[in-house]
Amino acid sequence: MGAVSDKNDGRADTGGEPPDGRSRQPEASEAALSRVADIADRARERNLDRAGELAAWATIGREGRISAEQRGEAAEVAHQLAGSAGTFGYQAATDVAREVERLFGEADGAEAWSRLTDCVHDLVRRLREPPELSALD
Amino acid sequence: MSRKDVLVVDDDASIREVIQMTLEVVGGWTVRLAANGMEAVEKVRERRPDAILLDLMMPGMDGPSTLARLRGGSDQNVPVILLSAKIQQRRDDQQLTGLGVAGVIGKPFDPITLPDRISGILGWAP
Repeated sequence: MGAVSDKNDGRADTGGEPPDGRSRQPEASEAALSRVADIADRARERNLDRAGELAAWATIGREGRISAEQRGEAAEVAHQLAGSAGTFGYQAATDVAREVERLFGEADGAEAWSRLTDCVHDLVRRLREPPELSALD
Repeated sequence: MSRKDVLVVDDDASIREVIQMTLEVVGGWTVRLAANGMEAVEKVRERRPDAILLDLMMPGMDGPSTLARLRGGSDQNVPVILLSAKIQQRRDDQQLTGLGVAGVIGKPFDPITLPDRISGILGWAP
């Protein structure tokens, strides 16, 4: 993912990372980092709650009782988790959450639901571990 | 030059909080928050921001619907940057580009470098 252009010329720009990654005042970045860590703690708790919701949806799916609407809700929860986790240092959890989102859209049959359940368990495990090297470092 | 005024629209409270903090502390900008599209439209009506950071996927009025509503109102020229967890998929990237936004920032993102990325997209001096 890289910048398409550096100025607002009417085209969409994907806004690549700045070359030095920390181009503003270092003291401001340091102050922000400590506050990011506090917010990240709360985000992690929220994401663990989301993973718990996904586990419940997966159980319902495995039992063949999940509706199309519920699948959509579950996929939305996984999508939110994917967007949040990596921002707070859990990139691997983001990757797994994306897979969970995809599987809630497609899962059909015992094997697929079993795989989805395994992914959700993996997601919980990764969220319980310390964050990886990331934006927070 | 006056402080930039940025409206952040995202349904995830932690994401709103971290963006607000980093744009205020690192960017030195004024930040207002909206948790959904309707709230965003109201906030823009109250005061026109210098830029809007808009989540693509939100329950109810999603990013594109919010964008359409904003573009149909009196504030058609406010630059909008989309936040998207789907940016890694090239097809989606191309679709987002067609929405007439200034840029797209993928989720997850590095909170600390976010002000620089926004400045880069909008051509704002750091």
